[in-house]
Amino acid sequence: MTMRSALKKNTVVFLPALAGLAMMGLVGCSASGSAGAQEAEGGYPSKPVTFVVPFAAGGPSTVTALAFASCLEAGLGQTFVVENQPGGSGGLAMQDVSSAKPDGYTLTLGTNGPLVMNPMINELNYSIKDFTSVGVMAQMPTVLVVGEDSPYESADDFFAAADKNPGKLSVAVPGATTSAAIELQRLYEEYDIEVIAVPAVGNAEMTTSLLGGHVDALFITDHQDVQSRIDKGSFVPLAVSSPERADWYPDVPTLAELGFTELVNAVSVFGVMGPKGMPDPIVSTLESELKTCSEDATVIDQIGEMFVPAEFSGAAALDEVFADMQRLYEPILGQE
Amino acid sequence: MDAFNNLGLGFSVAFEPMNLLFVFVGVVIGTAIGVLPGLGPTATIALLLPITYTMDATSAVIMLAGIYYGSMYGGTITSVLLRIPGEAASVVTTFDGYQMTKQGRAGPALGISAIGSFIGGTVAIIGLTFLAPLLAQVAVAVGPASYVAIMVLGLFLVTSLGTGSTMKSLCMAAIGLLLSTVGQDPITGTARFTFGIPSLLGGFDFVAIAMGLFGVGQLLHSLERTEKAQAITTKIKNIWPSRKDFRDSSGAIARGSLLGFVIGVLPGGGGVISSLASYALEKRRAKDPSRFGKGAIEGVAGPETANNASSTSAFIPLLILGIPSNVVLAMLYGALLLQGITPGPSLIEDRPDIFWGVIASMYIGNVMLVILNIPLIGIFIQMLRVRTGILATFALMVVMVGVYSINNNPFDMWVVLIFGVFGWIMIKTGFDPGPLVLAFILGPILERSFRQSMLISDGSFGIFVTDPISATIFGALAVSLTYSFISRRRRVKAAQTLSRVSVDAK
Repeated sequence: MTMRSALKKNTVVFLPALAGLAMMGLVGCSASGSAGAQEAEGGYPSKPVTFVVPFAAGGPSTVTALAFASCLEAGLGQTFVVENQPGGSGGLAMQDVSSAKPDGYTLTLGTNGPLVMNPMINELNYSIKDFTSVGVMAQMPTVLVVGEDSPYESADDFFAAADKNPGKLSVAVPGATTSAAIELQRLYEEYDIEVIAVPAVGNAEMTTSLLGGHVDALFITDHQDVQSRIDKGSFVPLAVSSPERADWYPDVPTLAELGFTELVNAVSVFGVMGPKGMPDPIVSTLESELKTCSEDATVIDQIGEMFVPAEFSGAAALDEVFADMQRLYEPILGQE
Repeated sequence: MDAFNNLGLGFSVAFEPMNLLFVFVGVVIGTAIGVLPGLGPTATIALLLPITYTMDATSAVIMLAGIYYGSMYGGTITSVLLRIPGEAASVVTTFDGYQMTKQGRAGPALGISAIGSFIGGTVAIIGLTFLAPLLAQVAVAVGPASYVAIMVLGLFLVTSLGTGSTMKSLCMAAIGLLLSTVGQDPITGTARFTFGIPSLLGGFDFVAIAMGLFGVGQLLHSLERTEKAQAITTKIKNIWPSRKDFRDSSGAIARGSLLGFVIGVLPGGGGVISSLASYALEKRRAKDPSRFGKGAIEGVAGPETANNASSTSAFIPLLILGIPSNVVLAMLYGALLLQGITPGPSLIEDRPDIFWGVIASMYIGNVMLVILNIPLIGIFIQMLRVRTGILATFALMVVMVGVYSINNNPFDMWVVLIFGVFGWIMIKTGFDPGPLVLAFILGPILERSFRQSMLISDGSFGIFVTDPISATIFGALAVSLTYSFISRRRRVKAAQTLSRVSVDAK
């Protein structure tokens, strides 16, 4: 807490003096002010670390990255600069990071779309094999929600209606290259239930389209905004996409329980990744610090208690998550 | 009244010394980055985001909001002086603003913009105070089909406001639409027209194209002329708008405030559409529309007012519904999330201090901005006395830094330079980059909404009739097109009869 108040003072003193470009310096200043004395083994990190987020600033990915960056910063004694590099559904950032030096000074937030699906759909110079996994920061299931006035009161109602009127119910998804979109495609291919997936950009646009009654349902990445709407009753959750029920929606069935046993993959995983060939000592330094941070109360509070897995998954586990995803989606996306 | 009580609470929060300081810091930073071409609120707020969560939540949002609307004031300056629009909404300001500068009337142009911005901003905050919950419903009612109609209307406005021939404007708008298709397909995610260049996967960045076509093109053009010719064109006649200027623009400011306030609530294209609509409205109402594009002060006052009003009313969906309507507001949203606050319908009850504090701070911020900006006008126009060679070099440098800062991608710097050369060629050949840039902004929204509509309706065009907003707009467009077609034919016929009569008379 003393550290935070010191920081606050710093910011207050510096802010009035700056304008325009001078702000770059300030970020450095107040950030290094928080640096703990603790130096990691082998001298890593001995200079600021760039943490690339493959999306525009402001979304859940940035919030997660910033929360962890400030914790890693305190633990490892070096600045972690969060840099947003949007464009090409995350493809640009991934391409850059995959070709960076694997020295631990360029890291990125690896997640389903940019890392696994985008290179399958588009010709990109990278694939999942060009990265080194470090560990999981957060994971969010996808929820099927309808509006409060919806005629569908349960998942059974919804899927029965979809079965009766194939290709009539519209469901907004967060984009074409997302797990959510592909799970709906699998719903059709493997279970013969056809709904129209309407790709939108981000949770904000999806929320608008459901509140305005422009689509019948959302298959949306669970996040604080979705939860607050569910709490207030304007969204009604019908089903979750995770393998098991979510603790925070104990009454909401999983898709698997509803008979779609294979549809358990629309879970967004936010992992820390680096370029291929990062030395083991660096990976394990980062991995153990990441574990500490995933138990940090401030971090958990900022990201949301339910999204930081209680049991930390390290490098090996993360590797497996993305490899599984790759195996699963290759036959579906490879055909295009 | 309830709103007054709440506003009282808001002002008690906003007048806390620390919050006053942060409003000031916000608007100063906002003005500064607005003046520096290319550096926009997006990159700035992204940089400051890590700092904000060490601050008090209310102060953080007050400061970030100040940066946002402060940059709207600042963005005008380079559009008027150098023909470099800093953000989408200022593109329209370059049409008449830069012409005024060429006529030595940069001072009045900037003065009327500052006053218009203040009035537009203040009207919008008053609206935000009393009408916010009502208008928030509008934002949700606008679905994909309505967007298609709004964007089509926008394109009509774009092609009608060019200064040159309609044919040339149409050509430019078509090129703008084509350029906007580069990148990933919005529905399937596959690459289009990227020619295997990874950086093109993200499409062209709007700022890079606008800076290139307008800014760099103009800089190249001005370097062609001799120093002597420069000195004459940049002679400054007066700094303050005359009484006639005020009379000419008062109507434009009033209409701009209302238009901007209402249109700003729409997510996505709100800002541009509002300044476009205001410009088109003023041109249509004018007794002599041919003055537009040649330095008409209403053409600066209206759009600038609308632009500021819309950037304020854009807060309505964020604060009332928890739906950020553009990238900058999405970052404000992120800043609140980092504080453990989820903006949404419950914000107004759970944290009235934040909700009303931010609104009250906007009243204060707007007053600060107008006090800050008016004395600065005299200083800014001195910039025109700097030798072109030096000014152009410096401006180019700032543009390059600014463009890089948007996506942290060096590719965008090449885009600026290449489009700069195109811009210079366009000036030489009498093509106006305005329609191109504006169509480039509207194109992606049009495409995405159209394809979403087609998905939802299963390929039936009926959706445009059943959606009330879209039906109204398309209906109005059809009526006005038919009307103008008929009246033109009548005029041609009349002219023919007239000439026949005069021939007979011989």
